[in-house]
Amino acid sequence: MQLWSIPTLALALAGAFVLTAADAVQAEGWGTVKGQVVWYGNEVPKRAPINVTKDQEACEKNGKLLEDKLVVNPKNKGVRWCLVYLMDVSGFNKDIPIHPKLQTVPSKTVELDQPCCQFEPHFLAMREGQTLIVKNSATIAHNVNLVGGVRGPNVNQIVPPGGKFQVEDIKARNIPIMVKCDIHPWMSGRIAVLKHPYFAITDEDGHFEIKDAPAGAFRLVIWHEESGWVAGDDKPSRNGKKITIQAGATTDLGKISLKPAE
Amino acid sequence: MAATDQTYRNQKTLDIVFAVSCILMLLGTLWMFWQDYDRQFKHIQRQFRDVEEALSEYQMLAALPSQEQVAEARNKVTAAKKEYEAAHNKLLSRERELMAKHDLADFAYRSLKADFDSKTSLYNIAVEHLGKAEEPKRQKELQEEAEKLYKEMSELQDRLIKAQDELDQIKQQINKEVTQPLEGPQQQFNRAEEELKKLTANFDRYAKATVQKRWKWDDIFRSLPILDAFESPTKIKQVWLPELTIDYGGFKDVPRFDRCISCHLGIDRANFDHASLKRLTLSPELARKELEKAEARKKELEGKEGSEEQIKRMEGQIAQLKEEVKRSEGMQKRLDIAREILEARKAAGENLGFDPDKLPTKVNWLKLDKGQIAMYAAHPRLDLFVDANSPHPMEKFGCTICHQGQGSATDFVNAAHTPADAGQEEEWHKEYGWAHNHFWDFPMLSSRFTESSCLKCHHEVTDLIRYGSKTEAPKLLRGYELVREYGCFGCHEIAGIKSGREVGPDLRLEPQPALAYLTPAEQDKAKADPLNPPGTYRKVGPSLRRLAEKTNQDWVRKWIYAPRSFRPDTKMPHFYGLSNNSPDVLHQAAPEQERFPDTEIAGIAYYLLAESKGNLEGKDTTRETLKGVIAKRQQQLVKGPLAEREWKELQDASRRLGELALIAVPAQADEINRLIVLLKQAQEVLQELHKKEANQKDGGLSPGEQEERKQAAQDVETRLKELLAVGQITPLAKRISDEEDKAVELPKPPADAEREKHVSNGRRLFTEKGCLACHSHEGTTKPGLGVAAAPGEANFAPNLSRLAAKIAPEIADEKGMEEAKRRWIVQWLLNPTVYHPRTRMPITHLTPAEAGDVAEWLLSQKVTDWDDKGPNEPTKEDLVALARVYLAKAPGFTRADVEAVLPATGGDLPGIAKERLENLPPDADERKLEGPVTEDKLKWYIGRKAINRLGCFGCHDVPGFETAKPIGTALNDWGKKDPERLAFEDADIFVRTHYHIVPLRNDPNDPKKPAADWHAKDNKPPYEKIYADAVQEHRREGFLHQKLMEPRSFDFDRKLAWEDRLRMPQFRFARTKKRDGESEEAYQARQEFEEAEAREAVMTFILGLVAEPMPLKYLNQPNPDRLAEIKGHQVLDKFNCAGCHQVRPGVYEFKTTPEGLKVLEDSYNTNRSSLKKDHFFPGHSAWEGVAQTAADRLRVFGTQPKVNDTDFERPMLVVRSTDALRFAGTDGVVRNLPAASNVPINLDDLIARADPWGGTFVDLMIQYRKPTEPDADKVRSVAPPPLIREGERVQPNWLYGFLLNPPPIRPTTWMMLRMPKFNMSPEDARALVNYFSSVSRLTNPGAGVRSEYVNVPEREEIYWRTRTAEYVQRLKEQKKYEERVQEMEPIWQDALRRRIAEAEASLPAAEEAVKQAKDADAKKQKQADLDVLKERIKFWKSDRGKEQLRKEWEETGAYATDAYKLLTDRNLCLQCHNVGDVVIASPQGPNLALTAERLRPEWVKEWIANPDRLFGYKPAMPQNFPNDTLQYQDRFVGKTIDQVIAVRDILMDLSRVAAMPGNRSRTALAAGGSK
Repeated sequence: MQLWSIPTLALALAGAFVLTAADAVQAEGWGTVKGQVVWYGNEVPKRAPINVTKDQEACEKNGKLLEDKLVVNPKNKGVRWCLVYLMDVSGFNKDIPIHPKLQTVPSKTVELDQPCCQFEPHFLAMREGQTLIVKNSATIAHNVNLVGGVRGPNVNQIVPPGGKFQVEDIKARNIPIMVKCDIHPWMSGRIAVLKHPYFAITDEDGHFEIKDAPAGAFRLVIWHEESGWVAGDDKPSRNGKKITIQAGATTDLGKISLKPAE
Repeated sequence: MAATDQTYRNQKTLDIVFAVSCILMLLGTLWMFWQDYDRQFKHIQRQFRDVEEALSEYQMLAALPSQEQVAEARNKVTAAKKEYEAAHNKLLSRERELMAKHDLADFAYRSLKADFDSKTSLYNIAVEHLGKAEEPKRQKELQEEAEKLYKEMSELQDRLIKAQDELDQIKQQINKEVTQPLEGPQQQFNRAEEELKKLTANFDRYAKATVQKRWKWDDIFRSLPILDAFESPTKIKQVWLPELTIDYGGFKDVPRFDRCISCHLGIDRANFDHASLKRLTLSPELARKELEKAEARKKELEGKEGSEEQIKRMEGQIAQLKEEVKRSEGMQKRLDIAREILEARKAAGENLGFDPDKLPTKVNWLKLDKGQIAMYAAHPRLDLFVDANSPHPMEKFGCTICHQGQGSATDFVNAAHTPADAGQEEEWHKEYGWAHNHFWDFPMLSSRFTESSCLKCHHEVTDLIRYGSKTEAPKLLRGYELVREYGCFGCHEIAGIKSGREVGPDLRLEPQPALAYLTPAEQDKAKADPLNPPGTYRKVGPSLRRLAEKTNQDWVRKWIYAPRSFRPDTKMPHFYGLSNNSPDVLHQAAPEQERFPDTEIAGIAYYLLAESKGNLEGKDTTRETLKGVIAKRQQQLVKGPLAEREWKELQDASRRLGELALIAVPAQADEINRLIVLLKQAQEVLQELHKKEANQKDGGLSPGEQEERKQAAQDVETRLKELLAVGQITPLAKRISDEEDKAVELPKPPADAEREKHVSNGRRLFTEKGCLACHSHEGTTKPGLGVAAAPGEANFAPNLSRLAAKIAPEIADEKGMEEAKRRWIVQWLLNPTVYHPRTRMPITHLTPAEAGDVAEWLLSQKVTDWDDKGPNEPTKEDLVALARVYLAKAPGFTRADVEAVLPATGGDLPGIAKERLENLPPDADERKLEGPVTEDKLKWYIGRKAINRLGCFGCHDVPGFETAKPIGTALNDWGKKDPERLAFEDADIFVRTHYHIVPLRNDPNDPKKPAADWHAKDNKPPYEKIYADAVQEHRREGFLHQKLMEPRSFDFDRKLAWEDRLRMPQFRFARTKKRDGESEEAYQARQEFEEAEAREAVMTFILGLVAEPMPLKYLNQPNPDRLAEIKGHQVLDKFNCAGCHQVRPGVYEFKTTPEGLKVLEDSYNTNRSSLKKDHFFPGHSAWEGVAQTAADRLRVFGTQPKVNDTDFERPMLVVRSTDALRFAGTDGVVRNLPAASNVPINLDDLIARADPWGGTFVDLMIQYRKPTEPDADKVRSVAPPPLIREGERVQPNWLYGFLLNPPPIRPTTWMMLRMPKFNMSPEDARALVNYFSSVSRLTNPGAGVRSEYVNVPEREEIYWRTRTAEYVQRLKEQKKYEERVQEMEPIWQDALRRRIAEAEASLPAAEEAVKQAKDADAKKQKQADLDVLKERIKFWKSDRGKEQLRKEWEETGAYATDAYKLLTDRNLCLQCHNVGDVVIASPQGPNLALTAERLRPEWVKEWIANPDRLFGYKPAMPQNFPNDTLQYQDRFVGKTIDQVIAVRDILMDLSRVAAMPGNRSRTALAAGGSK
């Protein structure tokens, strides 16, 4: 009873809205959005090697560790690990129509692993309703410190080699959860949680693609761990950039440049 | 004249006169009646009835239920009633029938019962008579009678029982057939009625009150003249306070009558708040008008620059007003409905308890002005005052004890109200003909100074801080802090004790030398006098004893000339350039004194440097003088006894020499104290023996005594020499020393190529090593030299921006100079007490090389923006002129003498003649003027005189002024000083001519900002009118204000001699800093504004010093724990602990609204994932919240307050809680939101907010590290830790030792900085330890901090035996026992092998010993030893050996051995901690071997169980044994909480556990594995 009756106030309002609006608001068709996040300057930042101060043997068994927060492809300047998601024009807490085939959450669980003293994936995106499984397939222990802020979860637990634990019922939020290991202070990762399936993490070329998105006017929000908000109408903001999704077509947003905040 | 019968006066005339006087008297009497009748308070009380009526009416309408609801409820009632009646009707005939039966049966039963009772009593009488009867015949008769009666009685009884049965049966029948079937309908009916009542209860209550409060005919009648003497509805109300007497000046102890409540009628009624009262006046017309006005004002503002904020505020106001318009428009309609409802109910026959016809038919809008609203309003802090449940109930405290004023008065003017500002003053004057009441000595404190009164009973001042961070009298506390910081007590006594009674705060200077340097016996002596205990405050300025090593004369002159021009935010006040000694003032008023200021400054600078140099060489004047006196008298003493006066002189000089040594080199205190005693003893021996010799007529002294005397004669000389040598300062040029006073090599200056690296490192160290917790430096505010910006604003210690221009000792060659500068800074950083023994600067633990780099950076920050204008160089004539002024005042010097010594005509200065010198006391300043007089001698003389006059030694340790007394007026009872005794002189003219007088200081719309016209005009700074008036009207606060603003302006227009001029310097308290992008004008205005606010805070404190002895029960006498908290707070302040550490969480109080509760519930739910993993500790404040004191509000303690506008619909204040919050959700379920939760608070619901206390430096470092480390918690983990829960965390003895001499706890390689070593006394350290323990007891009784001492059961044998027995049992239950035994087998074998080997190794020696034994007895003994050894080997080799080990393991080892496996598991604790000698690659936490001595066992358990809950931030330490996962069973069998406790147990006894047989090898394994 508790579980269902007390979501956050915001969500309750939004939820109530959905219950009535799900039938009322219909998308005028479905389309695809894609684009590429690229580094703004000519000089592409290099991935610095990480100073591994302990457990070198286990951590560097697959080679030296490289900085994994800002990863820019020197070939095409594409920026990896950017979170891209759609948002209703009126704000994050408003629901948007979901394609019938995406209504159900595809898999109940998502996994986060840390085989070589880095989180894998570095940036995980999941839907509300999925369960997070944190694994440790390494031969050494890690602690997993989830910094979920007001929306939770705030868990900091040690995971022995081969161990795992799970976190259920993680609420959606517009800024991803930070996850870190305090034993290996360089380790950090991010977990985005959203209410709808229209999100993506940019790949090594900075590309992203969101399929079966509702047609119409929306906001496209892009966030990067170090630079913060990337897209915006005039300047990057948490409200992102206004876009119009064409029904039955692919809306290509082209290159979106990422400039770190000063 | 002949006698006539004519009357002396004409009768007719007399008749007329009589008639007229009768009429006049009648009129007079009537007039008198009228005057008495027409008193102000009666009108007020009459009006208050209207207010009460209107408010009840308003509340009635607010509670107005909707007509539909009422109708529905009513219908339900009717329906239920009907149903009941119908059911009843059905049963009516049967009921009647049964009732009739019942009545009959009942009657039958009753009559039988009566018969039975009468028969019983007859029988009893018969039996009684039978007992008394003596004749047998009579006995027989009676016997028969009794038997007969008994028979009848028995019969009756049977019938009675039958009747009763019958009756019961009928009753049961009634119940079954009538009552039971009706029960349902009855209940329904009741419920419906209750519903209706609930709906209308409040409404009815207020409606009734409205009717009752109406002014009715009988009220009019009862308040008619004369009749009103009896039961008038208006009468004086008063509080009688026989113990809180008033001192009417001479008439001591007159009981206090406070009649304030005669007019302030709503003062104790919570619902009479300002807003509600205001609403009663807002008729639709008025509300609309106000709305229009607000809209017009908003329009006006639009388009104006910089008014966005104001517009925003206006928008809020407009929205509110719109609501008000709507509300007030609907009022009449609501009233009509209300009447309708009530009439209908009355018509329906309901008894309302009042007549609804008497309700008003029209809404009465009251006409109340601002003043009337203020008068009727409730006290704004009913939680603290007036209310019967508050700490200051009105019945006990009255009003005037805090507010002052004439409590017995019943009208506005006589009550001596005091306006808060000029606007109010004018209003009152117009409205009530108000004027200051000169005849009442203690008029009401204006609202600005209300907090002053708190000092009467709150003598510690810090007892006005609640929950550690909430300041309940912020202005007074600020004043107190400023007084402490600026050291007002250096010149003005603030003693807090009056004839042995505590009457106020005690802020007295500590004795010199400080108590800590005296011998224990001397200390006890000093503390022995309860009426005058030694002061505890250190002088606020640095010691000037070694000034010459730090700076030079030139700089000192410039500094004294205008300290703030060198360092704008310095606390050093201005002594020159003021209204009585600035050049232009002197030029006009006393041209002959025009050059005195510059001359005097030169003199002071010369004196300080000369004496300081002398000091470094051991030749300062005081020392020389004392040395001279002692040497002279001791020489005499060696020869013969001293006369009384001479002996006293010697004793006094010796004592002073000793004290001087202690002041100068307290590090040598032990040695100095020893020598002082030895010298004194030697002197006494000499004196005694001489006296003895002189008294003995023949023979003289014995040879032994002669020898003794000879020895003493030698001793006095050598001890004096030794004392002088030990008390001699070691100059820095000779030696710099580290924290342990060991000599240290000054690091070499870096080579030019390396310089930048070192400078950069210096800047980094300066930023990171904690300097910025107390100091600020311009150089760190912008990024540079590869170091990020750290714009610190700390001002606990001086701003060091211009340090490079100040550190410049007087050294001739440039190279030597550079080194001397570095030398000084390095020494200061390594051990500041060498230079200034009483400094609060701690030892920083920098290495000499690091200190060298910091010095390098500090000196590289060249000063370019200092206008280094200083005073002019005085000529010889100037010096002579000023010296003559002082000489003329010297005792015994006439004008002619002055002329002879320092002729005004110029030329050579003969000085004081030799013969004359001899007659001067040895320490006379004039001795310096021995001829020929040089300019230096004149400067010295002037400097000394000036320092004496200006009292520099109130703040600084000035050589030569060790025994000087403070120069200022005592402030002990200044707050009630008679204004007649204040010399206002012409200050009011000064004020009018020198300032721009402004009506208001604060912007009426935003009191935190200056008013629009608050700025300088024609170069005249702004001055608030209320203070200008107060100066003019000679009121206390006017004097004080002006004294602080321009202390010497009271000399204005006065012709005065130089030395008679006022001496109080001018302070500036506010330290305003210019903001980025602020215009010069706005900055100036803000500066004046903030200064005025700070000044007022100081005034608030001083006005509170009234030294009124209060009855003991009124004094705030906190319980021991609270007192420890209060005192500890002062010590924390003294050393600025809060600069680095977060000491206490913030306090947030908010109203509970359904929305707010909903959000809290959500927060609870987001915590569920961590709650599942949590171990719950009931009663502990981190897991279980306390019941809230008020039903409608919640109080949260937390850190990191942040407004969050991303995760909520509207912005919320989110705090990370430090204590669990117990709250009942919207569903009524009580939940405990544990500590470390994010608690969102709706900003609109916030009632009170006090942010966490302390941690400024950590916050600064978070900003500073942000570019490279965005994770704030990571920065926190390397910065000074929060001290929240410190009391329940650490063991007191450990903390005490740590505070006095802190070793590193967490790895220095990991931490950014180390806890410095403070210049703290054992008393201070104890106060801090007590603070933390007591805070724990006060805030978390469940933590188990019960006494000052810690009991660690985990170190006791019995504890281990019990635990082990439990554990072995568990092993057996889990079938792990055999497994463990097998596991232990090799360990036991190994242990046995080792034991056998050891024993066998000692066999030969034992055998040899038997052989070597000298006699039979010894042989026997040795043989026995050998046998034992052999027996032992045999035992170890047999099965019994192993069995023994197994037994040991089973009894005391199994539990610890398995727990030790957890501790040494490489994947647990060893990830981050070293454990004793087991070291890991990069440790982050403390070595766990420290735990046993450092931490409290309970806390360790709770911490391991769930670290997150117990810290001020999210700690890096993870949960190792979460409640929801069973792990590590192969190492330790048990639930997760058992594992937690097991790890805790071995940590508390680690050294023993680690040495256990199996564990030694495990230690080695862990050590090897982790490398």
